[in-house]
Amino acid sequence: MISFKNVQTEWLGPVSFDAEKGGLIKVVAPSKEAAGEFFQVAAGLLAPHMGEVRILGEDIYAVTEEEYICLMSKVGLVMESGGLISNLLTCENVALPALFHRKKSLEQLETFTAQTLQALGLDADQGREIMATAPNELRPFQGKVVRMIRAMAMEPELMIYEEIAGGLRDGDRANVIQLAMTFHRRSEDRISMFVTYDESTLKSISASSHIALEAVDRGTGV
Amino acid sequence: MGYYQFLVYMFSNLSALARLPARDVLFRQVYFNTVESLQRITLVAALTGMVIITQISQAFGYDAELIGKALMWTVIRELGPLITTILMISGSGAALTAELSSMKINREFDTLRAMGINPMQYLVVPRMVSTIVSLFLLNIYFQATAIMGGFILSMALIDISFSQHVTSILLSISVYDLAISISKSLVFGAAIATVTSAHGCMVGTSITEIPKAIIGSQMRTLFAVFIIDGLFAYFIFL
Repeated sequence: MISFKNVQTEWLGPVSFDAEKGGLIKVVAPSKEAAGEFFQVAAGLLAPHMGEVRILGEDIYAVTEEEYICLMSKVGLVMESGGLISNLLTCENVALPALFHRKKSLEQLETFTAQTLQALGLDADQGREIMATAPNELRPFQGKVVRMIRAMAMEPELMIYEEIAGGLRDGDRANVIQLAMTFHRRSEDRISMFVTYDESTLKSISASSHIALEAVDRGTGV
Repeated sequence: MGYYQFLVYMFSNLSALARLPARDVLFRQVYFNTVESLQRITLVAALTGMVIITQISQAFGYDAELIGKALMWTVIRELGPLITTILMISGSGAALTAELSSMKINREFDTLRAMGINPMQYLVVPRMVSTIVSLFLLNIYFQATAIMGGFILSMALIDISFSQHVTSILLSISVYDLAISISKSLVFGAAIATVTSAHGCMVGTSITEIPKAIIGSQMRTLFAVFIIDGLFAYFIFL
């Protein structure tokens, strides 16, 4: 379902792993930059210097643009920050991919969003306030919640989370991880991959695979 | 991608509008391009009609038939499509280039790709189609306002019978002229849509490229429109 074969980038040493359906993977990078770079490479947004990245059986850097876009409709990405469309309201951002790929109707999306917000400990008023806000006015926790709901609404086969629990208070962190785990268990075939540079934020996740990335040896230089 | 490829891409990907979010973008853009520019268009159209009527009356005296024909020749054949195009280039055209280029620089195109959404189909095609549709609608509105508004304003300045003018216009109007006017607005709309979208999508990574893209798209669209207008004049009216 997702595999890295001898992948090397500017910040990361060679990394190889293979995860099958239903896998829960924890990827720990040596630095924030390395974690960000790994996420970008896994999302097909940054070509590695060498190696092969396969998602759902396809080498994402060898497929055509059309094939890449089609492939990504089956992948949910939860970025650490940004990643929202600036000229849409938050509710429109949440609805965009699910409606575009015809995965859910508007009514189903409303129900799904309300249930997810509730699971995160937010009441209806707080939910309405978040959904009516412009993306640039969201607080970090709210932004993270919105990106999670948006990705989950697509019912993806593969979920990739970047720093899902970083920078959150303990209560919010527990709720966010609980939501991700509940979503993972909802489908037997779904793979969830958590990328972080701070392993302590993911200690409550018992992963089936643990991948420790290595930094590139840049030498001391003179 | 060059201008030609953008135009071909739009026509070959019209099916993207079958998806709800893309259709939503189309309707919003048509609203933005038309309703939000009505005030500007109304004022310019009414003043254009008034200037034409008063100038002809000054030069040749009051002649309802001549005024009717002059309005037909100038407003319907030429000024209607041309002025609405220039107003659109300076307003919606610039906004379109600015919006697309800032989204490209902020990597929102990549965000869409990573969600499995083709940014060309979601962002560009609906905006291009909306530009063509909007210019077509604004052209019709401009012509109606120039003719009617011009009469109303002129009646306040010179002694003109409204019913005589309406009759003279109705006698002068022809399906051929209307077809040319509509064709012009559609072709001009396609030119604006193509050039402004292409410049918005062709920026690199620096924010300083946004003003350059806007200026470049405005100048090139104006050139393209005047060249197309010249070709219309040469092949149809000469």
